[in-house]
Amino acid sequence: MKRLLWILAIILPLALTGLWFYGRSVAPVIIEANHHLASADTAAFRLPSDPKAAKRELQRAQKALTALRPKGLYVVIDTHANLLYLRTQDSVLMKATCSTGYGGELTDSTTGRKWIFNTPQGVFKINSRVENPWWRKPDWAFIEEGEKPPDDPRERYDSNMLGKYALGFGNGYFIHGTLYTRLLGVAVSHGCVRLGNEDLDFLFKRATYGTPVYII
Amino acid sequence: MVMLILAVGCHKREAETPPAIPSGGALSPEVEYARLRTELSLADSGQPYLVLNVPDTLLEVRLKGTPVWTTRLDLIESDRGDLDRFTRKFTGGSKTWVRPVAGLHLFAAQEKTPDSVLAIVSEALNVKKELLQRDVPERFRIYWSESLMMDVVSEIEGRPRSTLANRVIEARTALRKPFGAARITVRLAPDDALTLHRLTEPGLATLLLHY
Repeated sequence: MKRLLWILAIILPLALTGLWFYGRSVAPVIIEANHHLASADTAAFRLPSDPKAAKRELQRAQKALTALRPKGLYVVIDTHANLLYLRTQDSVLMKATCSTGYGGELTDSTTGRKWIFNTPQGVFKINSRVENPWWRKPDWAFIEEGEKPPDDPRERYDSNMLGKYALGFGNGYFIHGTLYTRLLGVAVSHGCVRLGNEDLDFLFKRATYGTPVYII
Repeated sequence: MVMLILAVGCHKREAETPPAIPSGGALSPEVEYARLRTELSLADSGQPYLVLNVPDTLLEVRLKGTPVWTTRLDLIESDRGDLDRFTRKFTGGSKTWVRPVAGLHLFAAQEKTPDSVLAIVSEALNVKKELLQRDVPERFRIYWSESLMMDVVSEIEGRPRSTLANRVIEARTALRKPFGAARITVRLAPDDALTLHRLTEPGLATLLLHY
């Protein structure tokens, strides 16, 4: 019995120490609250002592926040779940499965040019609306297939690839249709946002020039 | 000794309870102003931020002040008291409205796309399957500083990432509870859980709206 207690007295602290170290290694890294806003408190943002000035300042802050929000419809693209929403501040009109950029890289071995196929994140606006769009294939579309980009621009056009409509939101990025509807929901695009036909119809009828597009 | 430690832990928790925000009441102009200015700063950053909107029972992601992802703050395994404790601790007597996410742990998840589909796609695109795959979490935990935690569960059956790591983390949580750890558990749809899990990373600003 005494011997058993001795063994336990040695093994138990060792086991607990091992477990403690293991616990530290698997536990999430807790970072310090060093975000510049972590200290945002009532002391950091003080209202003026004069009640009228304080009221004006409060109203100004409320207006500034309200002004940031779109008054009408806006599009949200969730690149994490591959979902596209058409919504207002209070309600969602459409939730559709889409395909966004897969995040891969391509390097042109002859020139060293490099492309990263991500859907950009941030706030954009619809800046073009095209019916029956033709795709002007960029260089990467040929390089990816192991071909040389053609000198004749006419060889770059493809009338089938983008579906019935395309909504541009800047820098050559579009929300458009797809031939590969079975892959909707998987991040397989080169950065554009692919939608199914019915959802694209619905969106195209409602998203006008200037409609905000938020991408997360 | 244990009793003494527990007593000190409980005392500390009591001492941290701030009286500044009356539950169910309106905020004072000073506090409302601080909250607005805080959110304006977050909106200016151009980065998405998480909003725990307690008055409207919503969990939101906002970008430039605009809600871009919204779901119900559907609390489970916790009563109103847990939420109150969490919000009190989070706001620290209305001094702090925003905290950065400090950590994340995925307990169990299911793969979203069948391997058979990804095998074809990854070959066509010449990319690794792992790059295209998405984990739909069954359960994960978000940490903030001062032992604040939110568990997110979804109604799918996932595979544990590491049973031992999960148990160790649960044991650590249980040990911390008497010393003021505050945890809430929310239920989300699988798609929402996926979005929140992928979007959340250390440093993600989290704004608490609490009236």
